[in-house]
Amino acid sequence: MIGKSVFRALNGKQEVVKRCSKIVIRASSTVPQMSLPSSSENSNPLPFFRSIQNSPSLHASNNSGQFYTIDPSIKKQLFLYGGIPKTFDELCNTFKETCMMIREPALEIMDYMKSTNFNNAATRYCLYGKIGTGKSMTMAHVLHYGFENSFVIVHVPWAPYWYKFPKEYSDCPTKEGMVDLPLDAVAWLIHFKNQNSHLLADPNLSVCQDWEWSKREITKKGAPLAEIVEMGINRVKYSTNCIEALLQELKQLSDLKRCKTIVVIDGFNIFFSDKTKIKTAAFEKIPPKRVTITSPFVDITKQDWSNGAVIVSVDDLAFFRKDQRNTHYPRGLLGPEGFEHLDPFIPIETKNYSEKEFHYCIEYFLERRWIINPHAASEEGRKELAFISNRNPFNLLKVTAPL
Amino acid sequence: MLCNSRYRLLRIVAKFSTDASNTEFRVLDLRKGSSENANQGRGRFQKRTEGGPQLLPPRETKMPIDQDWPSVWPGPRTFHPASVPLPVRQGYPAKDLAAPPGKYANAELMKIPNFLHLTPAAVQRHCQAIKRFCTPWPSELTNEDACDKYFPVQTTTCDYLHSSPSIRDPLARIVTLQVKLSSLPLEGRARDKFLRLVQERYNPETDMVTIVVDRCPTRKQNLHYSHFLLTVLYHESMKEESWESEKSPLDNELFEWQTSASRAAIDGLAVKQKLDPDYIQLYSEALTNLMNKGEDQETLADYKESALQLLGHSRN
Repeated sequence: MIGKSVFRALNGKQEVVKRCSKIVIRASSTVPQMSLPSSSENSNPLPFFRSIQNSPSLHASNNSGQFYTIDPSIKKQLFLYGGIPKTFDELCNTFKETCMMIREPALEIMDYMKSTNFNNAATRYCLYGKIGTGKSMTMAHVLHYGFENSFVIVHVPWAPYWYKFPKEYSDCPTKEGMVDLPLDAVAWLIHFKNQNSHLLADPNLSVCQDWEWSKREITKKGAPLAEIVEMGINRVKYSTNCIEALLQELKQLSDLKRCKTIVVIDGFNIFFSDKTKIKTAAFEKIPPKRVTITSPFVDITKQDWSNGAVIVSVDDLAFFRKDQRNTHYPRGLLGPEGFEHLDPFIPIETKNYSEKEFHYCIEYFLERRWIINPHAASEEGRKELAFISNRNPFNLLKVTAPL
Repeated sequence: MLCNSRYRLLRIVAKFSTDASNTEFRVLDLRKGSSENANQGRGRFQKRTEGGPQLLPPRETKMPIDQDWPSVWPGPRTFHPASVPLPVRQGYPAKDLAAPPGKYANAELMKIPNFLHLTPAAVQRHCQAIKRFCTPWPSELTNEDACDKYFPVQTTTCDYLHSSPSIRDPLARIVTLQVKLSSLPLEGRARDKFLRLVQERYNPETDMVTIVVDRCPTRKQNLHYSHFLLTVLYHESMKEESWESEKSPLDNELFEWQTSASRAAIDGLAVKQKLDPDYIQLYSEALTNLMNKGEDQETLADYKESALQLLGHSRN
């Protein structure tokens, strides 16, 4: 840390800016104001790879490649229980800020959503792409957009967790042959409540029909939606039923134009696979369709409701390693059943970094001192990094970690 | 030492080819003391001088270029280097970088069959001789397609020759029957059934069905059996059994839009929102292409385009 010279490329010029003789401790979590020479093209006080726009609704193609910062309070509300990939989260802790790159797939989805006719059925968007190209990140970006535009958020951060690492499973008392995941259902309801806390107070969100949980416990028509959520959190026994009721209600409310809903599910293809780690009381391994939590989320991705959008992603990593299908294309991962369910949908591909995006990413890493090795910042070093990582975002992160 | 004999011949060739009168007979001198034979007797201290018995140069050196080769080599014969005016080399050299061994005293060349008796000139002569026994080529058979049309079934058998006490070979009974599927009047369901019966014997690239029969002991029996097989295959495919109607969409080889679940989904959607029938058509084509050709960048891109159009999305 002592006596290191930092090379920075500013608008294509190489300059040795500082020689640090002291250990620099970053105390603030806000964007550090790096002073640029007046040769910058726009009146952007930030470096060229950062965007002034921190609001996804205002992101456009001229922001493509730039990093925007997510406010810590928003991050806490949206992503406390998942949504930001773990490795990236660690990076954010290291950098003391959550900065995401504005990339083409997210801009595309947001564009479509801005121009959608919300009288029509909810469109399904399916994100696909090779591992590490930014599917989960795109979903996080779109989630932020949905949050800003007052959508009710139905978010499953990583669906395979339920089937690969279930907290607890038990035979369903009401439906024969099905298995419940009570604790996971409660966890999801808490996540839902956290994300939509600002909307659940809205008087428009009231229940459309009576819901009977047991002989004594009924949620009546006209009660606030929050009541169902509370019921599910408090009464673990009925948590999955509450999820079902909640999602059905959201569909109806969206149809009635009392709210708009955005459904974001990562690893959607697991719902149509045929293996889980969940067993019945008789130690019989069951497929996802015999788990009660599957059906409400599969149901909400149908196109029988309007005034909303559904964004799912398909990932080969969702499957167990032995069952991985070595393809990144949607039909291969969804299988015939899943494809039929989702058809017609808009497939959106996430790709490796373009040259511009790669350049901006390296600049960001340099600024954040993730890359300290001076050779890495040079022209040759960058070419080497681009070659080794194949400009894959995740690979780039891993490759530059020791630098 | 091995090369000595060859060098000797070459020297003789050199010596004799300049002779004007190389048609003269040599004089046979069997006397013991004659000059020519003197060198032959080997005393104890006498070196083996060069020369040796006087040999005629090889015949190939005196062959004119425009000679009648079929007369020189009228029938199949073991390779005889002195009679073949070609600098042929065969085999692997003893040393790595040397040339392959020459034709003189080359056992390998002698072992293998040669076709020096079947040069084009010789073949032409044979044909001319046989021609008067032949009938003319049928006028209708002008090209390959015409041959396929009139003779759709090709039968292939193989004959084996043995120079042993028995002329029999068990492999001679094998009969291969080949027929183009397009020459059989099969359509739709019947064609599908035929292909399922025939399985890997059908080559889609050449459209040929190949049936190899070897289960009977004689060729004639196998031939009849192959004809029987073809007949049975055709008639069985034409028949429709009651259980064939149990074929489900999962069994379909190709994606069919009309009966698909996707079409039902689109129809359901069309009830609620306005869908342009042209876009539905384009969408169905893109989807069929995606399902049948397989997923790749191109087919997915087409699918995406058509879905965007159908659902009414566009970028600003």
